[in-house]
Amino acid sequence: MLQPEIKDLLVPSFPKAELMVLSNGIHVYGFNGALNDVLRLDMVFDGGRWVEDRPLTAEATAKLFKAGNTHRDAFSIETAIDSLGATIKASSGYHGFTLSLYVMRKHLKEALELLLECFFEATFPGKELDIHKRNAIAKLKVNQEKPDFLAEMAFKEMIFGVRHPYGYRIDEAYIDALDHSHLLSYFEQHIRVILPDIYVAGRYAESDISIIAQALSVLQPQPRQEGILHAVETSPERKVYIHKPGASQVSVMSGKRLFNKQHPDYAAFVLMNTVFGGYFGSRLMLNIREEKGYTYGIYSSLQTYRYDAAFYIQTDTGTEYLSACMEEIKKECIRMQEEPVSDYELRQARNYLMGKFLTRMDGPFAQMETFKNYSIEGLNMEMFDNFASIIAQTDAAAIQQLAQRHLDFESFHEVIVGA
Amino acid sequence: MAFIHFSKKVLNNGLCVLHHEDTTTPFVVLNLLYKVGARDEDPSRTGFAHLFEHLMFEGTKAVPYFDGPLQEAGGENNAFTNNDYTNYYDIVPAVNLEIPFWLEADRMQHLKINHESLNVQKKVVIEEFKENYINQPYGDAFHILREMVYEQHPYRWPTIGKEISHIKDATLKDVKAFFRKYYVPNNAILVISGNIQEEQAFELAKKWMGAIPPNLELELKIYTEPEQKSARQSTVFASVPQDSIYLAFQMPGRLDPGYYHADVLTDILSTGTSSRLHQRLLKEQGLFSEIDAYISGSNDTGMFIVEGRVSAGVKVDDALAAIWEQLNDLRMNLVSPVELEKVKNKMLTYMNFSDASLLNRTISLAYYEMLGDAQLINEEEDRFEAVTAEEVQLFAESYLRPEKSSTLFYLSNLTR
Repeated sequence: MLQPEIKDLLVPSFPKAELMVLSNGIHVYGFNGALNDVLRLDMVFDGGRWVEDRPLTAEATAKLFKAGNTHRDAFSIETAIDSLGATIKASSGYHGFTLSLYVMRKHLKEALELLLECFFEATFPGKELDIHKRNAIAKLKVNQEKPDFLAEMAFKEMIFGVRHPYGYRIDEAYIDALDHSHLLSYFEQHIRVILPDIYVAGRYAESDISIIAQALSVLQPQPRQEGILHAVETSPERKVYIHKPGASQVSVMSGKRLFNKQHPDYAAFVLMNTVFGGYFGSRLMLNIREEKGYTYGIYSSLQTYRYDAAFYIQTDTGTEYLSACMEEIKKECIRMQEEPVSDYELRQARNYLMGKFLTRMDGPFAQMETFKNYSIEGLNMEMFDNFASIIAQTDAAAIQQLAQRHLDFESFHEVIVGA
Repeated sequence: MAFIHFSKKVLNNGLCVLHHEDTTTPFVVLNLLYKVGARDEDPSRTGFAHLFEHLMFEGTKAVPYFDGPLQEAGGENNAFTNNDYTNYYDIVPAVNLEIPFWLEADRMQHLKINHESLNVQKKVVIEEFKENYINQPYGDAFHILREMVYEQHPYRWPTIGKEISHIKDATLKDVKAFFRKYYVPNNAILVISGNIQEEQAFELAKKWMGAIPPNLELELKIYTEPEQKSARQSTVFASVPQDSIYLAFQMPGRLDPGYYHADVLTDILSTGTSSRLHQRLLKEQGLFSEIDAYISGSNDTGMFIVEGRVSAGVKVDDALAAIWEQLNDLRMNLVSPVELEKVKNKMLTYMNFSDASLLNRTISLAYYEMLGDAQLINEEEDRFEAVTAEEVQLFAESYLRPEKSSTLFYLSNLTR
């Protein structure tokens, strides 16, 4: 039977969030319409790793958010949360410190009260910190046996520098040095008094939003003062080799510092990268996995942050294939630079990305996640819409130019972990 | 929980087709489950069902590269193999909803199988084997554990295969025979879901797959595992940073009421930070840096597993004794109503969030249909709700016994 016709995709504008501003200045963004009576609520505080004084303080503060407060100990808090069937999770990224609540609608009020109890009264007990430190070090030691983990740590450190929030590696000494007072002062200075943004997704009614508004109205937050700067210190070193005795594969990361989503070439670069190594149908994947069988997977990506970005190619390959694999990566970089991509490849990559854009706005949870991540990265949804329209218009000549400018394989930083 | 509506038809060639509509999404999902997994493998050719899954993406005469048209249609796809079944799914924007029908029907009939693609995918799978099971700390623990828990059932080897040589040894003849035997409409369940109406879904299923011939000689193989009568124990040393304990017990299959008792038990032990193992053994006693209890959820005799990474300076025997103390507590004492309520509430929230994903709902429908009836998807909540403290204790007393245990000490040779 004949192949059905394939239609190009149109991506609609990103749906508008329902917005409410509380009297204390807190913005609540809502995405409604889930299948079941569940709610996810995220409180995001601008800051995260970027504003910490000592490495890993933000992450540790997040980990110990529920570890005790002036009313009760960790077990009592955890039991109360679990009994509601709820989950409260604190996490810290590079720029956002997030308190997340997952709960059935009927338990929203009680769960939110528990979250705010910890928010106002968290004490970060030293005894709990000791347990956390012991287990975090144990976990680190297991991760240090994983070649891909070692490769990523070394690569990010090389690109952004040993002190930069995007670059410093998780070090046992950093974990060891964590102290109760650091966590407490981080929380008091960077979370408790800071104006959060609130994101809500799920299935809710007016009454649920009232509960949220009322609970949060007692906060007296201040907008964050901008001003912290961290200089990127890219290592002059180009190649790092980490010896891992007995490894049957080598883990490779190769790439460079590059621009983030603020740059006018960002969207076209994403299209170029999709053809090159950004998805299953990419050239790297088709050549190095599907034709040569050197690896289970090979990908290239542009990882963007609020103030910077890194582009890299990542794979794990059999030790015996390493040099052939690197040779093929180099060839593919050159091919991107010397020949325009075919119409078919372009259409395939473009439509694939359009499908991805649709996925990122499919349903309230995806919408909230996309919207929130854009906000944390300092972007708005007009930029999201704009990226889709640039990708729809970018042609093969533009892609070739971008490849010529950026896929300079010989100058890439490279980390190899293996035997 | 929202009731999940679906309808069902069986085509003349035996293909079971289900439809589930969701007009809130711009996507259509097509999920094709084949009732074949690692359990159907020859013991000297393990890993074959999974290797074959890779070959399903190698194209046909009409479609040289399976992923191409799907990506061009703005879609994506993937597949997974486990011991019981192999599952393929395609997600496309509704404007291109006919593309996956065409692709799946085409490869069910005309899969291109040749030496070249077989050799490449053998290499790819061998790299996957190394990446996930050799070059990872504790990566082969389940290779060892399965052989301890099962003596006869094909669950005794993992989906990736018992050893790399089995993958190397696969022949073109094996591949062709496997394809003809198992990749047939009467061994498959097709679920069509998302932004597509019932009539159109069944019409397209019939149009594209209704004429594919069935395998009339297909027969259901039944495997059993004899009940374990005495404790099993094994110790391995590897270059891992920490000693680990894997304690496993045989448990009833997926359709037995005991499955639900076991699931509740593992939640009491390790779901949430207020759970028993986490609170008592990790936090209060400091014996473990990580600890977890879970079930394998397989169709036949399953595994109930407690896995823990032992803290530095703690003797593994002491750590194991502490796990037993917790299990014995559950064997001897009833769980309190408050604790039972807590884990049920947790489970209910989890199920409600999980259901938000169309893909999860779609794969679940296929899975429950494979178990016997897709309607089970709407009965799960009640089954968990009905579990009593007495049943939990009876399960613990019947199954979590020393003579029915397999203990694997996976020890560090770095610290010695």
